Amino acid sequence: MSDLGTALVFWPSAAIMLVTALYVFITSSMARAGLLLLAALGIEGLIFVALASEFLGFLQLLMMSGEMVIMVFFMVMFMPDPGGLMGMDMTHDKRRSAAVAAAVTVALAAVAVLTDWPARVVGDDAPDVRAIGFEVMGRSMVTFLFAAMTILFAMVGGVLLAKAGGRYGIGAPLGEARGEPGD
Amino acid sequence: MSTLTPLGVLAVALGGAGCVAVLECVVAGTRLAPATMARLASTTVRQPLRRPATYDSWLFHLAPGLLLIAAVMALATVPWAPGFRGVDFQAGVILFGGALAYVTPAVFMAGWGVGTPLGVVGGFRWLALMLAYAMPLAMVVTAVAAPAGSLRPSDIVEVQHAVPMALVQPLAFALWLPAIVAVCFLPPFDLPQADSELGGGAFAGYGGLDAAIVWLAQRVLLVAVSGMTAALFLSGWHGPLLPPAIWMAVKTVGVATLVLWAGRRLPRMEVDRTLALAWKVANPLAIVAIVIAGALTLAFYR
Amino acid sequence: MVLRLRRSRHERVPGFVIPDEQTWTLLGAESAMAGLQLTANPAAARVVLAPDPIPDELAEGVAALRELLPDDVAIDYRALPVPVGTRVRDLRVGTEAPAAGMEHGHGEHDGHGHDAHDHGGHGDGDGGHHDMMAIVGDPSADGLIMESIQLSHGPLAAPLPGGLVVDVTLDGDVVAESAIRALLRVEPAGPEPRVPDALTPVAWTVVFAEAVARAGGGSTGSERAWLSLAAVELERAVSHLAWLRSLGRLLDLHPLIEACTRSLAALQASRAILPYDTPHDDWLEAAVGAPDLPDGRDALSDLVKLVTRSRGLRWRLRGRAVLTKAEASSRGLCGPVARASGRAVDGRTDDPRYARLGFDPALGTQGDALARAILRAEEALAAVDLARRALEADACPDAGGVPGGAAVTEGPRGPLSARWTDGRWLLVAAGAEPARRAAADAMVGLEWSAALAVLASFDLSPWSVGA
Repeated sequence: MSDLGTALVFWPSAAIMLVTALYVFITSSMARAGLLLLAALGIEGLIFVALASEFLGFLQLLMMSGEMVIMVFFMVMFMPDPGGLMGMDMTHDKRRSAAVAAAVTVALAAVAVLTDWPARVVGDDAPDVRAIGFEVMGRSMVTFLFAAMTILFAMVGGVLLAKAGGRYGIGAPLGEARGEPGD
Repeated sequence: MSTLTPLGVLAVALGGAGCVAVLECVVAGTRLAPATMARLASTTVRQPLRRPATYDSWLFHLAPGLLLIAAVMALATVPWAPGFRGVDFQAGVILFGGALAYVTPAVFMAGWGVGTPLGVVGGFRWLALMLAYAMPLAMVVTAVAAPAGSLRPSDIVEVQHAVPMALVQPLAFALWLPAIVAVCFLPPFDLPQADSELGGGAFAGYGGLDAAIVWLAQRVLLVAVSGMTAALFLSGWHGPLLPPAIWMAVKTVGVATLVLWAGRRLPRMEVDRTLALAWKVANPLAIVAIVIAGALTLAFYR
Repeated sequence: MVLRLRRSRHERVPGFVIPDEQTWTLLGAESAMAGLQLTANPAAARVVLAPDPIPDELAEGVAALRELLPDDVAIDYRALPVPVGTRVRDLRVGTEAPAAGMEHGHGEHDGHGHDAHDHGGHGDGDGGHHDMMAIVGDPSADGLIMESIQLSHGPLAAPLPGGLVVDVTLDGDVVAESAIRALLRVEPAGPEPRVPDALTPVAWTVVFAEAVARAGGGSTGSERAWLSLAAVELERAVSHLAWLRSLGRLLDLHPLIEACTRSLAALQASRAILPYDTPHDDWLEAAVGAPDLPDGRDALSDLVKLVTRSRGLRWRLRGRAVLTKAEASSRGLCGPVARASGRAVDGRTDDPRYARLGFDPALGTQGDALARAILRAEEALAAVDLARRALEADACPDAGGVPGGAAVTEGPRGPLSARWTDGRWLLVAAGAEPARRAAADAMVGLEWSAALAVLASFDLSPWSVGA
């Protein structure tokens, strides 16, 4: 893609990403929040594609849809008022969290703007699949393995911690038949 | 990818949806009545859009459009002939998977958006189903891409010029077929819109153009997954005598007919038993399929 | 895997039937549904059939349905061959002259006013503002505290019988609590009996005739008795087949639906219940019709083979809602539900007429939903055999029984009894209420589709009979 084409895709997409990401926090419906986040990350995938990194872009699109929907699923499962209809205030510890958020934003922005990123022009047919394959199977294998395991343990552990009464819940496990004798 | 590719993809989408409608009549044994079908279609489209009292604004009306976009994007990745390979990206099968992945939020949005209890249940059942089919689907794609050494769909077609992948990797094929039926939410995996259990479920609230778009998107999805099955497992356009495009068409129609026929023979799957099957049987077997694919690659394909 | 391309049938137009397919089949109007592709989603229906007049209890359900229908679809009211709640003419205890004409009995009914579709909001919880961190409520069965959805499924929730309302509390898509109500009711009033259950009109008419004879002190042995028996048995077969077909629709199992339709076509070819309900010979012959019993038997034995061997049915129904024999006894269940659990309670075993025909009650052992389905299929086949033998038999032994006592007939869902005492009719459909409670209890803890399949396996009648 030409420089102009890339710029035409990149800047508006980045703006839309920021707006949708902002709305994730403004809306109080869990489903809408999750789907707006999906929109933001999906647009990020499109940006990757525009920057000639097709594999990463498609992978981003592929993974984010499933992940965000699972996240909405978990939110609806665990949170009160998932529909946002009761107008509950979901924020707490406001001043400290605002301070931390501002500090992290400034730090990340500084990193993004001030780092000397390596700039290389790659053609359309750059073999990025091969490059990524070697990277994942070589240098980054351990990182990815641990990240995957950590996420899985976190999800399962979260559900277990939320359950009252541990792994088998309250009382006896459910069987298929539940008719008790007598009325 | 030329400038005519999008037009070609749209033509295949609409034509394919019509063929699937005909195939459905054939498989069900009902008489083909184009006049009645056209009348039903036109009355559906002309009805005003419905908004159940409980609907959740933009999610509700966005879902059919997202579904159709996902279906058309998936269709765009299918290579139909040496001269018309769709959008033949280097990581084309990943885009196929990614486009299919957007069926999930679309169905979920439809279920949530309609706001009735059974609609929400339909949307959440779809999530459960997605957990069941998504991992085997992705792992089988890996198993098929390994012998070809590439994620480009036309490369995978080319590597099958001698033997179709279905014969070389029958386990992968056996795992792939239920997964693609599930992604189209066709019977026996029509859990989100189960007519008899949920009264229409996630899609019950749609009327008019929305309902027509959902119908169209489901048919286009079937064309896309059938075409990709033919490309990835049945040697694509390779075959004696007939031109390549005809072979692809024949194979695609064959897969679609098989899917529709299986839907009429089998009862609807139940979520809990399907999930048990998926996690206890399908996922381990998919890992085995990848191992087999790796062995085959080392032995024969390199 | 042979792909059979069947010969084309009629055009199929999506349709919706009020109150349900079974009622129309059993009241002899199966042919009115030809050419319809029955759908459970009203928004997709192009044709809606309803009986004229509609029972009052369904009025709210029909109003709710009207809102869901597309704008260009109107409800098509048709008079059924046997209107609901018909008075059995010329059959009354006492010496008053029979009234002319027919009446449709609705009688008084309780105001079971209920919305057919309850919209449970997502955010409806305990109401009011609660602390973010404290999620109040009782934990659900899997240990997570979640808000539940209240849902009233019915009364026009195809393919369940119309008039049946299932009030469930859904915990996600798992049933946490369940209660089943049968909305439809015909109030008995006066010495003229009214058929209280539109799903078994023939059986009730035969019961009433016998009850009247007993009240008058007469005996019940004659040529008519064989015809009554054949008619009751054929109705049993048709009832079980219609139920199997509705189960096929629920599970979306097309081979089952088509096999049931074939068998029903063979049995219903000329079966017509004529509007005058006096169970004299003409009426009974019409209720039996001129069915092609050998053909019907072939179709039915194919169906029994399908039901016993179908892997799809086994996949959905095996091991669901197991009722042991002891449970069936303690709950007071009767009919096929009890027999599938191994409890041998069948009103026909003590009947000398059935003994003469070589009757052997079918019994199941597993007691799960699959056993109930297989048992009903086998009973349907046996019923057709009994009907054939009854039509070929000659002199009929006296059924016996105490004059003035209750007349009992084994209906498709259990024994039906009627008795005229103290100037009013005492009608009992034993096992109906226990079956509803057993079904409600069996649904708990199951995921929604499994719960519906379990509910269907009990073959509940939406008509409440008796006090």
